[in-house]
Amino acid sequence: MGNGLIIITALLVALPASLLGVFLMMRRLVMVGDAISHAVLPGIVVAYLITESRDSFPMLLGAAVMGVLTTMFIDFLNRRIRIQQDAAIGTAFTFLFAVGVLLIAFFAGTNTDLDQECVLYGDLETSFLDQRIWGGYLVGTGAIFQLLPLNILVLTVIVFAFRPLTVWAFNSDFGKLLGMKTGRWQLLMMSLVSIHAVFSFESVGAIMVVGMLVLPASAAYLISNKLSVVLFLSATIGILGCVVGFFVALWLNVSIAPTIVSICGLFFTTIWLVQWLRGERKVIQTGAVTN
Amino acid sequence: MENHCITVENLQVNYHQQVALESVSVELPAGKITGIIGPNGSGKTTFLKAVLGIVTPATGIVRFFGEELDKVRQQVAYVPQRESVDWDFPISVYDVVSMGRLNPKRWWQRVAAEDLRIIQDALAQVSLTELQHRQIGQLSGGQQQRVFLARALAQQASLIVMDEPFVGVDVASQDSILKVLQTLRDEGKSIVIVHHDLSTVANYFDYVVLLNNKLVAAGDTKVMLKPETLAKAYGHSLLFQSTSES
Amino acid sequence: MNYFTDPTIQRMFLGTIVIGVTASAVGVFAFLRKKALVGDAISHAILPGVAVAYIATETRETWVLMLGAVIAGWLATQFMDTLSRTTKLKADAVVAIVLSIFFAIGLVLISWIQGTGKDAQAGLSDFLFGKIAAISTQDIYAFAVLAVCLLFLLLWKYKTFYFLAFNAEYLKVRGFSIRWNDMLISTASILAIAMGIQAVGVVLMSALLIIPVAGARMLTFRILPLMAISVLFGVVGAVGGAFSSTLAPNMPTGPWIIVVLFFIVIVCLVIRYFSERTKRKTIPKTQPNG
Repeated sequence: MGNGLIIITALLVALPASLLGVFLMMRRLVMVGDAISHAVLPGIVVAYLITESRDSFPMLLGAAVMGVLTTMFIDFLNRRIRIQQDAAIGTAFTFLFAVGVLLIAFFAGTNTDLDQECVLYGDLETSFLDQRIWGGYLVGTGAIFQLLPLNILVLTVIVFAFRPLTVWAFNSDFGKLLGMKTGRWQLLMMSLVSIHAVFSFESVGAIMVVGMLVLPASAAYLISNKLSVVLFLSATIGILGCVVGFFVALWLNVSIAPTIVSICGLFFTTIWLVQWLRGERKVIQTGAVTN
Repeated sequence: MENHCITVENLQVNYHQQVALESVSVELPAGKITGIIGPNGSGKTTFLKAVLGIVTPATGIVRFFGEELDKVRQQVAYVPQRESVDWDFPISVYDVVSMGRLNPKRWWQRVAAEDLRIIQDALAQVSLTELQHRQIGQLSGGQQQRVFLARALAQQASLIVMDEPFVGVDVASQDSILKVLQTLRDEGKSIVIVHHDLSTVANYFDYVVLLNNKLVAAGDTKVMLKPETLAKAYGHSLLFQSTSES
Repeated sequence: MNYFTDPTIQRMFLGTIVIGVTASAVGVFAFLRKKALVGDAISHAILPGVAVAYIATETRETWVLMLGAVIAGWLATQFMDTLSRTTKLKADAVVAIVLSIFFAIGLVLISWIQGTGKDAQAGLSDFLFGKIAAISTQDIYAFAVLAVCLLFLLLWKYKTFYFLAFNAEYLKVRGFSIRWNDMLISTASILAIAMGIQAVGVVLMSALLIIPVAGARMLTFRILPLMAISVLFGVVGAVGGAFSSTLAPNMPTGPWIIVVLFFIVIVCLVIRYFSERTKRKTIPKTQPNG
């Protein structure tokens, strides 16, 4: 029973990540996604300290606002102060993450629920203890009840706004020409990434989120050029990574979240190597091909 | 004296598992302004980069003044495409031009008095003396192009290779750049320019190479620019594309 | 507690200063090469190197772990280069891929070591957020020697690295070896990062490279002042951070250094903002004349 609940939680983290990751990758915003997943830490810590609990929904949404503010701050440093993008990202998120770590260190004595290690690993292993019973039946866990609405939201947005999101992702200028408010689409996607970062934080920790965002999406992108196919493949790889990763972690008796990301990394590396070696052969065979 | 500045034999470039440039053999005359002309995506820049060894070609031999590039590097100056430059980079006009005096074998040396004079001469020749302490992003398009021309001058090369120097540059600057180039040619230097705008070819170049993923034609401008030659070489696509862009 | 005589405190200040100076000097070139986030990937990638070195040797000798760290950092650099050469993936995705794969493996290894109950002696989790007290005096002297070598390299070749960052193709045509210089500068970055992770931790190490130069860049665009100011900021950040961390018990050093550095950046930002405003008021912007 516990295993099932853990796998479901992992899947609910991986599915939206692998879908959102595709769009982030197309827009070259992967590292912004990484920055968000770090930057929500101080927000989460403050939320915990105020409510003294882990599942205060409004407080966590407040923490997600931190993520959106981070993207705006990066944008501000980049556009107005003209700091190059990579340095703007590196400056903004390391600072916010450092503040989060300091807050934890400061209040570690008063709140034993929160420590530096869980920031890194997450608590996937114990998430199933927080069970919700309804009418005598086990209906899920706290983490599942947080992640489920997010999954529905992300799927709804991607299904119904597929075309504008495609325009935004591939060719933002073209969208502007059409009169699309590309800024708002970006805000929507970044909000989803921030909410995801907050809700998946306690399951997989802050740092594994970027792996879940980028690895399935990149592996899928290497296989296909069609956005809908890339999304589908990315979700599939993410899900497979969760299931395989979970059992590997049990078998080796190691932490689950990093194992899942390692397995996704293994999938990515395998796909890349196969493609690369096949491509090399193709070039040799068709060395003098005409076009 | 070798009367070709660049000799290319059977140059082929593959890019992302596709052929970008197919087996080009051509000789570019020394002491002239040569234009490498072709529509967008026709492999002009790729040709240039392969010739200069920036991109590794699949096959081909390239010689500069009859020698391999390694022997005559100091003689070859490269002016990159404006778009490829990071204009926010923290560097001043003077610093960019001083790169022309950097000796690859003695890179630790400081700028000598002699170098300083050459750098200032180069800056004066393109009328940038007063702007030399500006950060390069704070210049107009034409001035930016002249910075890189000055770097080529400071290198005192006998061959200057330029990638689309007239893009995003106003007409007055185009003329002033051209004037500098013509002076250089009259001093006996060779100039090779990648260019996409067919309408200005007659005024700019002495010799023209037409590329479209392979060599289409090469010859003196007067011969090449006859409509029959162009039509035979390109069909209408090139004419249409280049006029719509200019 | 007397800050000038207590040997533990002295050691801590000396260590952070050595690390701060090296990281901020190397960071200038990471910044100029637009490789701030590559530094982040390298510092994360060092974790499995440290873990493997520990598993293989079962010692916590600094030089053993450093060796593992440098090898892992080098592998990560090669992996990133190969990925960007052989795939259509954009640079940011490549960085994120390598970062997450290496770091995930590192965490798996550490949780495995902890599972076997050996972490009590290893203290590998100190590498995550940094613990300057874990560095011995001999290590600090060794780091200082390494730091001097790296600084010498940078001062010796700064011009090449500077021009290379600006316009690599030009230098290639001029006959410079891009590959060799790239390798030198990446190796310098890896060494600086490997030195720093014990004090600052893998998660925040990249900040020590990038934030000083980001602040300095707001004050100048010239290379030598840029290097000088960012090293100065590195020192101020190191001292200020180390000092702040002593004010309360059990405070990690790394995050404090980052916080101090960030406030330096804010000050620079304000200076930049006002200097630009007065410039705009006093001098009418010269219209570029073609």
